[in-house]
Amino acid sequence: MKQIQIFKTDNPRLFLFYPIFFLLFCALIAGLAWRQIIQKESFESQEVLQSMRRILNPGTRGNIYDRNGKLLVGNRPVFSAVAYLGALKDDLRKEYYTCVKLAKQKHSKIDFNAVRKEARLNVLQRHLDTINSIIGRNEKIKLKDLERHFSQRLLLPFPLIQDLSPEEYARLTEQIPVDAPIQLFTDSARYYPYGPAAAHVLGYVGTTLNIPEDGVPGKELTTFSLRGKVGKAGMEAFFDEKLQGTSGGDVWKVDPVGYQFQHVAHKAASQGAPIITSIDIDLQLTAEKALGDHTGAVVVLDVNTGEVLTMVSHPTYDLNELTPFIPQATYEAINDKGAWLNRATQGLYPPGSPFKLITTIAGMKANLIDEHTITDCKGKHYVGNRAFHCDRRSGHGLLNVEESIAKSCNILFYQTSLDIGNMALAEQAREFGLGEPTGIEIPFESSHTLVPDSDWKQNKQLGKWMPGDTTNMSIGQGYLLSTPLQMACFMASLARGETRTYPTLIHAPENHTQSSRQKSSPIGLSQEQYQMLLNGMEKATLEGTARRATLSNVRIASKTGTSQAWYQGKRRNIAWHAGFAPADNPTIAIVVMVEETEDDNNYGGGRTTSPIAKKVLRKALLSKTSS
Amino acid sequence: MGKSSVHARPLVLLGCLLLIWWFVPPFIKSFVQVNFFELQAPAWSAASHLKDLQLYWSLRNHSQQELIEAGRDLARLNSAYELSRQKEAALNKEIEHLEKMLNLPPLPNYNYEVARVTRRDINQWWQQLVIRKGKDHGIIEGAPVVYAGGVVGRIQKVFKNTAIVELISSPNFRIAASFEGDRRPVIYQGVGTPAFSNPRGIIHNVPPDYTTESTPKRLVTSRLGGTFPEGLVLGQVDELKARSDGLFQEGKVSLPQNLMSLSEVAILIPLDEDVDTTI
Amino acid sequence: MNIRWLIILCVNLLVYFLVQELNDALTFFGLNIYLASLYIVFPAIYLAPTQGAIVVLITSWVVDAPLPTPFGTTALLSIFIYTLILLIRHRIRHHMGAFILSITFFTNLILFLILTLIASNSPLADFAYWQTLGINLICSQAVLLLAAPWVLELEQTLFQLSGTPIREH
Repeated sequence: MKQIQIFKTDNPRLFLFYPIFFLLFCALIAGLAWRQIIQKESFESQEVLQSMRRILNPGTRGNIYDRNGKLLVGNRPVFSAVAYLGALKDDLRKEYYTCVKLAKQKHSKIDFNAVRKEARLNVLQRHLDTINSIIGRNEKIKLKDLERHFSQRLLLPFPLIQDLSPEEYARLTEQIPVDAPIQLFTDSARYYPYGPAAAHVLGYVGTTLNIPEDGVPGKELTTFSLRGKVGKAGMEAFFDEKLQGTSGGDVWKVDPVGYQFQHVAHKAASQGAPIITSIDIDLQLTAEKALGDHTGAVVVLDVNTGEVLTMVSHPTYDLNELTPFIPQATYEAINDKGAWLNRATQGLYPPGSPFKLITTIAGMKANLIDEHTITDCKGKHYVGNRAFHCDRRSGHGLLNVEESIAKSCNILFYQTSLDIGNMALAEQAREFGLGEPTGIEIPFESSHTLVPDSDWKQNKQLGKWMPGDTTNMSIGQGYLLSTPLQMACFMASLARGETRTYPTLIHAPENHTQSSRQKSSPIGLSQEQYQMLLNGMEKATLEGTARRATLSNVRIASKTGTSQAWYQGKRRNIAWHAGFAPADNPTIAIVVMVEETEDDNNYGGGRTTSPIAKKVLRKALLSKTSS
Repeated sequence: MGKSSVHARPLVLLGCLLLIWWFVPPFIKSFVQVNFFELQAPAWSAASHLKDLQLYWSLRNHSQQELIEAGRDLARLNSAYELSRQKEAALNKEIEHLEKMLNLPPLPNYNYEVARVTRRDINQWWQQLVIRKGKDHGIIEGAPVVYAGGVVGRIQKVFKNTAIVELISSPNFRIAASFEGDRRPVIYQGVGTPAFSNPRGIIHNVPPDYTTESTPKRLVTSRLGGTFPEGLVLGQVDELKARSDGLFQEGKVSLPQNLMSLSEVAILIPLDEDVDTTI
Repeated sequence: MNIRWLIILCVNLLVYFLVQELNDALTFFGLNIYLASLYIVFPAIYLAPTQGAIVVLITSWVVDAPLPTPFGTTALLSIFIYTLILLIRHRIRHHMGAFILSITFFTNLILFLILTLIASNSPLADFAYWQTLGINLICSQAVLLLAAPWVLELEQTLFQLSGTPIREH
């Protein structure tokens, strides 16, 4: 038998293999080093990406307070019972095997996917039944919801029952063991202590899964977000960024299936910044009550600071019905009564007789009106062949400027407007900010307010500008469109003897100092001219059209109006009351606007809006005196 | 085979024991546990009886004068309690009347079972008492346990003649509570007993508008939780701190020190069968 | 009949009873003494492995029965430590009491820490919890240093009285 020499190392043929093996070993070591040293970080980050998940948790929104520190918008906790699926892993596995065993007994062929679903449903329903027995409900799990949760939101707790009542929450707190897989979960919903008051100003929120990261660690990780809130209207939308809290979050190590395995990092969420609005909720409630069931708006401004003390728009809605979500029926009910519209900032109306003040100012500036101006009102005024009527068909007789304003006689303004011309009148209106948004801190303020002129009419291809258009415009009719807020700004400006007021919903006491009050260019009237205007407005309150707004011991400057607008083919009156008080040292500017909604309403400025203005002014002046 | 196998024997023993324990059905474990507890229960009961006897003999040593004084004090206390009892009876009738008027469900009634404490097991891991009454005396799991100073805890396990009470300072003890004079529910949970200090708890989910206004507030039980009757004292809250989410406040609860030296407690056994105290 | 295991079991139960009584008295101060190593080290050193295991198991079940932890936690923990001591007991047995005392001391420390890991459900960020834990650990170890020689002495005396050798051969 030939013996094989194994250990002969001096065989020259073997020398060939040494360098080959050496090179191969080098390659192996280099590969090892490459993977262990050079690619170490890449593998580590890959491992992190595969095994870590992040949950983003939105911060609670900031509160909104009125100017006196009363809570207007807060947060209420919403409790729900949830199941932490990671803690149910063993139960799910055992139930799955049981279901498989049962299925094998029944059928020869098993649909494992269906069995898995059944096991999940059984386990979760069992826990839900425990909760049902504690709180006396009979809730069932929807398989569709459960499957969606397992496939998309496995890391998040599965909601079993949402929006528990305080009694249910208390019972579950006490009767669910501290370490059970079923726990209570707390979310927040917006809470409005005054319900429908100032609904259009405050606005409401909707839900979003788009939560800001706010420095929560693990930016590169697969992230699940709990539902957050986003402002949809009013101040909630305008100040959304400020109100949004800072997001918190958790980073979890997950097992291969995706269940929570180990808590790695946590960052607490924090509440958003608070906002102090200029709204005086007591005055707001008074105005809401005074406006009652009328469709319309009330705006009260602080003359000196431009702060909006009250902004009412009716019909309105209860903000609490829109949280935590807007039910379809509620949405439709609000839609049907036209309550989504904020009539104070979005409603477009011909301003009516309060616009006569602008015509007067334009006339005074053009030296067409002075203390000697006397108008003979015979009830109508002819422009060409067309008769333009005064409110009193029988005529007012001889009237000076103050009386024309007080009695809201049209004739003086028809004549003046025709003398100064459309462009000058439009220019004066624009000087007061009509025709452009006020810039108030509420989204969707109407940008369609209009001060018409001949160029505009031509551009719109509505024909040539006619003298009749000018006379219509002089009394706040025709194509003129403004919002109640714009008219309130005009009143505040007039009260200060200036041309512009920039309204704000933010209460800033530092603006109350003399140096930082609202300031714009003066109207451009002499003291006498301005006094004449004021006297006319005061007379309107004392003995004229606004006499229903008279308050004892307070001098009030007012101008009422009744304009006409066409709504769904029907002519409707728009009743106005605009003014400020006290007339000698103005602090409050007010505008009340009421729309006719029925054929038999027969609304008019003095009849309908002045009594409302009186109630609001009384409260406003009382508040001012007490503060 | 020799030295190494000898050394491996303990590991084999450990492995075998672990395997056996792993495969033993839960009911057998439970059976062993109950029996081991029942086995030692007489020893603890005997020790407790001995202590009672000791107390009895120490009381016997009091002079006649002391007994006369104690009797007089007791008589005064009795008359005060009699007055309270009559008032309570009148109030109960009023409550019944109001319940009927408002169509409210009646408040749950309880039967009181007084029991001696045979053993206290209070440390950083668990906080429990063993009492000298059990299944034979109608004690049920989850029943509230109280004493003159307020809440003691909840029955955790019941044996034949003994039961284990989980103390309110236990981190596993969580109930719905409320501040005295305020019905809104808050969550109370025990956190343990620090050395040389009062046992403690914490409260969560306190509404943000609630203030302790520089004076400590008493925390009492809320009947909303379904286990405890309303108004039993839990402890005192000295300070509340707002949580970063702004939704709630939380605070520490200081529990009475005598909770740690109780010798007698009362178990409230619900009379109404509909009142479910189990989980 | 070999009654050595019975003697150690009785001593274990006696120690358990006394420790409970001590703890009962100390609850007023919020203190708790933990001397579990006394139930494990002596059976591991003085008894045959199987007998020792029986003693440790019975004692642990007695300890375990009233506790809120899952039944068997203490038993499994004790058996595990018992096995470790068995593995090194041929080295310990030649040494005198001081060495055994130090083994008892460290075993108790390990048991205390493991039990803390298993049974603790207090908020870990709570300073008072760690403070209590520290004080109880120090007190337990101090009491152990005093109690262990006495228990050892008691067991040896009982062995002598019953006429059984101190160590299993």
